[in-house]
Amino acid sequence: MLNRPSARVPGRRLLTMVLSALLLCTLGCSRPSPQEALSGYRIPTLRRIQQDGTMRVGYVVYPPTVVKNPNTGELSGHFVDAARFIADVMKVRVQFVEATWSTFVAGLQSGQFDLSIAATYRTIPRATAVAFTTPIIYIGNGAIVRRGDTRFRSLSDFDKPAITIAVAQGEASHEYALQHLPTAHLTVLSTADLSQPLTEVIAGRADVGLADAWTTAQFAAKHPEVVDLFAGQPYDLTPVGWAVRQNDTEFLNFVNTAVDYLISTGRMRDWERKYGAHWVYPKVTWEITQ
Amino acid sequence: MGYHWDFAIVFRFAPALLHGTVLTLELTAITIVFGTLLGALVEVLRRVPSRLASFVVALYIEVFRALPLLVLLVWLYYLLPLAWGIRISSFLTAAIAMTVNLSAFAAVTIRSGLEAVPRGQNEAALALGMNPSQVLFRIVLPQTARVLLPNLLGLYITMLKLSSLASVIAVYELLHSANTVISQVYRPLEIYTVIALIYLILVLPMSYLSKRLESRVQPRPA
Repeated sequence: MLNRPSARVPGRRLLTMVLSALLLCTLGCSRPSPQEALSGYRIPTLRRIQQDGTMRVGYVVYPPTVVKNPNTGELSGHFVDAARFIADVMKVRVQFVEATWSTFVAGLQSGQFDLSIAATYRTIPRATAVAFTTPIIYIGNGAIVRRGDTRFRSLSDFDKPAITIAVAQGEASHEYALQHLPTAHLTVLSTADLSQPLTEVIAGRADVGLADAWTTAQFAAKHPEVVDLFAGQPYDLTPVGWAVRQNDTEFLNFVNTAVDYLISTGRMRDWERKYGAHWVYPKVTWEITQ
Repeated sequence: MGYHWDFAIVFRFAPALLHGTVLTLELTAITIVFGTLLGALVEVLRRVPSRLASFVVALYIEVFRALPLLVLLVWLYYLLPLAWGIRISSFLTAAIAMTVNLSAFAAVTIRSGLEAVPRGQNEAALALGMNPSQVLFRIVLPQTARVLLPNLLGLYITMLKLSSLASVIAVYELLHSANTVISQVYRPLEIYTVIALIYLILVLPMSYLSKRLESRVQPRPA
């Protein structure tokens, strides 16, 4: 049998070269340590932002905190205005990176952005994954039921085996329903659309749809066939804040300082009024020390 | 319970939906071109007489055919910056994920197309004095194309539909554009009805073309 190494060598050489190149690239590429990977960078975030001149801000479209004009792509909303103000004062550019409710945590952790201005409920389980700022606003939850459905007057009326409640997976309403409405039948939707559980009520697939109070109010206003059961009286009031990476203490301190400044000087409320927001705030009385 | 349809809002946001449609087509076109080329390259590598090459190619095909595209999308989007500090746009990430996914299926399809041509025809053509490139372009490819094209078109239609998964990493294709509109107007039924129609308009011509090609491939009854 003829030995024809020359016929075998070109393919083997090519393959070896390709694999070697891939291996070198993998080994030679600068990889962050796990700690650096978690923080996203080798140098502290605040210093890096000042050096690069760019602050990457992640957002999830949730009017009126973050509004995206679907036709032009232009961003607005009171959280966007606040982020732009902070960047202006720092004299850095702000680069907005869009995320979804299911991906913004991973976006922070992987360094896609430094600060998330998604209007996130500051809950204990979530605080194990990200570091929240001080509360910026408070949002409660609401419920949508069909107009004329007289079965429901309070939350306890939901907690029956014959009642089907629609919620968005991972959303605060989902957590509330699991804890407080254990006997009801839950339809848990994996969706980025916060109004989808409410559409379940319109479609007759659920008796109740739970979502945050802003979404239920807006939805009820657009759909006369349903009512917002707790309009003006949201339940399960929860603080909402921005988020940074879990171990990004220096940057968190900075953002907290900025948030406190914007709230105490009234700038945050001015922006909220501009976009027609009606969030809940603790009532604060100021007095001058005698 | 009666539902009050209001399609007027769709016209207000027509530019957004049009932009989403264009991006869907861009993403799909990039996937088709590069996915097919990569699939062909994978098949060529498979024919390299090397056990290592065969193993690597087999592994590539099995892994990327087994991985759901949604998992691959999210995994790539976060793995690239975390593991290698590579930050690329969500659009590029989606294009890469879809290209790799398509290439695995395309490689198998191309292989079956090439193997559909009897080896005896290769040998006969060589015996008649044709050189290998003449054999490839005059004998093998014309026959292979007739078998390949309907199957590849089927894969391309699937990729067009799967492009909607890119919405999970905020690529502004049609579904994500629709969700952004819904977040403003809270009329999901109207918006989803319209994007369903748009997908039909995009997919049906390709399905028709695929069926026409299939009927041309089928042998005529004697």
